[in-house]
Amino acid sequence: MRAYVPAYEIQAPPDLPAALDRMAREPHTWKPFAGGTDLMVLLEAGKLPHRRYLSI
Amino acid sequence: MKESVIGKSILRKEGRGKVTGSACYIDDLNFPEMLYGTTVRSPLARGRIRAIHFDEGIPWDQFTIVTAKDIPGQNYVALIVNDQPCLADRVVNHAEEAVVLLAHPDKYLLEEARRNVGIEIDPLPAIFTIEDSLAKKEIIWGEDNIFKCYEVNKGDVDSAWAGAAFVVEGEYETGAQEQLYIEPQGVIARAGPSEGITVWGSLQCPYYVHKALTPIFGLPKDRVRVIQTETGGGFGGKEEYPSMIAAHAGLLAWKSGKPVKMIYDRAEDMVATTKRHPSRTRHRTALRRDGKFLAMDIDLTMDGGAYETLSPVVLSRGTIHAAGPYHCPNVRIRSRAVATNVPPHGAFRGFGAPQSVFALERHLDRVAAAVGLAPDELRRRNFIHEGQTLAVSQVVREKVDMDRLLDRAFEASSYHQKRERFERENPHSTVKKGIGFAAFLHGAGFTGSGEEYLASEAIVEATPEGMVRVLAGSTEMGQGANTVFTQVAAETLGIDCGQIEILRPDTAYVPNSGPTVASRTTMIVGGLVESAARQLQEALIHSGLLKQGYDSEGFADACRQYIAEFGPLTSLVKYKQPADIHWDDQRYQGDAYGAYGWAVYLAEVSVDTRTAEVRVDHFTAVQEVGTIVNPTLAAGQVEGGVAQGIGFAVYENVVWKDGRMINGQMTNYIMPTSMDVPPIRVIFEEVPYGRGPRGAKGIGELPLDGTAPAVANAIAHATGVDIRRIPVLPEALIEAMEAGDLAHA
Amino acid sequence: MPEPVRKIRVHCTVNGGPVAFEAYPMSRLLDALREELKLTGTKEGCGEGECGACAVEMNGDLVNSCLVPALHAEGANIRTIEGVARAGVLDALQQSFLEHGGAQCGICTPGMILAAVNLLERHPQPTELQIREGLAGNLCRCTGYIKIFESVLDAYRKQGLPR
Repeated sequence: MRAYVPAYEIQAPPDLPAALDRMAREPHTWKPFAGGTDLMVLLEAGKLPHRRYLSI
Repeated sequence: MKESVIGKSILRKEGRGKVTGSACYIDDLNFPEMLYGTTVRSPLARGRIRAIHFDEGIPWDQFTIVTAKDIPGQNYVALIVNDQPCLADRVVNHAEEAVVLLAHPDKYLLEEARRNVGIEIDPLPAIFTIEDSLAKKEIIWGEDNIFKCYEVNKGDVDSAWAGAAFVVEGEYETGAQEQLYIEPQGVIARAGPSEGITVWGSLQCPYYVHKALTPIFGLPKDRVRVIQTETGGGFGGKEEYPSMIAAHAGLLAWKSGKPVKMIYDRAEDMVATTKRHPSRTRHRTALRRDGKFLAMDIDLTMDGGAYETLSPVVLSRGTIHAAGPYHCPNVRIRSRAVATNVPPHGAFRGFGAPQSVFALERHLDRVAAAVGLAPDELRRRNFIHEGQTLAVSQVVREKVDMDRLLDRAFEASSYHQKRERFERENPHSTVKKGIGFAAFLHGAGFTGSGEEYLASEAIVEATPEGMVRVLAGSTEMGQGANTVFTQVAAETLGIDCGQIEILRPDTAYVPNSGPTVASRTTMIVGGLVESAARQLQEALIHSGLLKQGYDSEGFADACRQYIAEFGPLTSLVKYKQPADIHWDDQRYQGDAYGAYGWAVYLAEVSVDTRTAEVRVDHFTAVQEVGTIVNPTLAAGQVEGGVAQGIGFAVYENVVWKDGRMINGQMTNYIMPTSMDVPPIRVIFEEVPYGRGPRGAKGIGELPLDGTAPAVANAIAHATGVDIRRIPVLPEALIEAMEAGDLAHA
Repeated sequence: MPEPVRKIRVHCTVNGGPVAFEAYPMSRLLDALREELKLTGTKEGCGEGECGACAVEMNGDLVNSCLVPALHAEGANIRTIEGVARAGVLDALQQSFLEHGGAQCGICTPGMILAAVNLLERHPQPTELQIREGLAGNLCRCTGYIKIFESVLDAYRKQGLPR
């Protein structure tokens, strides 16, 4: 496990309007993703850039 | 008269915990105030350490930091020659060599810190191949890069060439292979100048770790304690390596005053720890017109990596097995283990024999073709028989019958019909089928005077509750040691298996039974358990407390009464070398092993010529390993070993760049999955071995010797490609197939 | 050094009972199970979703818990190896693994049993191919899989199919 896990933020907005709203109000901050398996593989290999992720 | 438990598939002694998830592996164990530990490793293969810097932004004052100067005793990990440092001090000799250790209570912060330690190295020229090492492109170890060499001579090889009807040569190579136990290396250590050191860990040899920790910490032996936790696979990868990780966790514990847990993640484990020695073998074989061997001239080189570690012993086994289960009047085997700037290679099931057996059995298929004989006919004309001598001049005193093993393998697999059918159908198909086999032997126990040197001990004692407890340093790692010891003790005493306890190996309590390696645990240590149990029984009979025709309850009563009346009832037995086993270490001749397993393995493969994908469709494993103590466990050893051998042959490839493994992930280092193993037919020929407990011999490593050459021979049969190297990767195979039948792969 | 984010509180059902734990949102379900809930039966073998030693059932699907962010466990129904036996009575699969040598070193066994449980839920009478495919995400280095197949075949042939 090669990542500093506490630095990663994920949030899961309840629906699409909420997700779009969040991304509009905080532009260039949130990266949307679905599923997340690939994300976690990168995280554990130490290759996931520090981002704030939005789970859709 | 109690029914025998030998030859019964008694349930795995510790199995219930394993199927319920309650078995305790090292990462399942935690202590109050425990810290996590990690290792900062060299980025380069060779060089002088110029500086170590700790980047800003990390609260370093919260960390325990250890370097070589913090070692209280001596900076080496004891093995044969003490050349391997515990922590690199001024130079590094391989990539991933340990330089700095860190500990902290927060494992996430620990990992962040690890990436913020820089080790600056002034590079020195490094070498990475057997060729460069032999050519002395750089001298990186000793005077000449050579850890060890052997020479075996029988008869007069050089006189044979002139009179030979056929002379066949060939060169064969095997690559590194990662043990890939599913549970990574891990330990927990508690240490301090007044308390001494205690290590819990996933390991095969508690007394090896004990021996290594003692000089590193400068402690007396009785203040070093090593305890084996449930171990999730070893295969040799946890034979010698755990001494290193135990020392590292111990150093952090020593300096911090807290318990330290160190668990490797998979990438670190694959890249930094030991792998199977890569090898290069050259054969030159002279034969008479009738196909009988006149001479074998064998040259074997193994890549040992940066430090000597166990290379002399791996080379020894490879050397002794290089000429196989054949009779040949003139043999010369010259072998050497050489240094390169890669992480030291180490023990892996088979321990040198898989390398030399691959070369020999692949070579003999080519020899058969050159001589105009079928592969099996060549073997039959040269199989060794009782009374003849092996290459090391050992007189075979077992009732070996290789012909019968070959017959059984052929019958079970319908070899001749399949071979004929494949040859007939292949020209009309893009998927070519092939069938191939290997005939081989595997010596059980330590070589030559090794068992005498080990002087292993085992204890069988009665408990006040009336149970019987076995105390041995042998470790269970899935192979079934606990269950086999239970059966042997129960059989000898004539009591239920449920009355036997096996004590967890803890150097504070169990004697040194030698390492759990070399296919010796059932045969040698099981033999000690049998003798100790017999001694215990005799003591009870002698005391008058054990009545004729007793049952389990009667035995328990007798134990309780004995202890109440006389005190402890303990029986210790120490290994004694049989008087008629003689080995000459100087001339490398004589009785190399007390007993051999004998085998013929056979593989059927399909090769898709469009993709060069190889599938092993069917596998037949026929072996004679003495009496089978537990059929399910024994078959499990064969099936698991065959799967690893298939990996060795076609899937498992270590990719190197600048002396570092760059495919250190399970994603891209491929081991067989449930989709890749064929049906495996396991056949045991039981010929009881007089000196084994209840007639048993060793079995654990044998399957690794014959699987890869059987598969390689089958691929050669299917495609016409002259396989010389494993793993047989699709890339190489497709090139060879496109270039035509005579190409090398 | 990046600032740590706030931990979240995750509520889910594990082995039939409601639980709650605190975790960083991107931390792994595997670590939450082992460290917060002290359910150490689920194992880490590779940390990359390849070996299946960390497999659990989540909402009826077999997942590698090393690839599930803690956040995604919110509201989930999770079964681990500790939830396979009922009140100390082994499931038919566990008994078969014991009787047929399906477990050697045991480190892959919890994940393998969950995979077999999940397989039998989807294919109560699996063919050999379905067994091989169903277990293809679980690596075993010890057994060569043969006795695992035999264990699964034996379990469904006996009457007690897993619930």
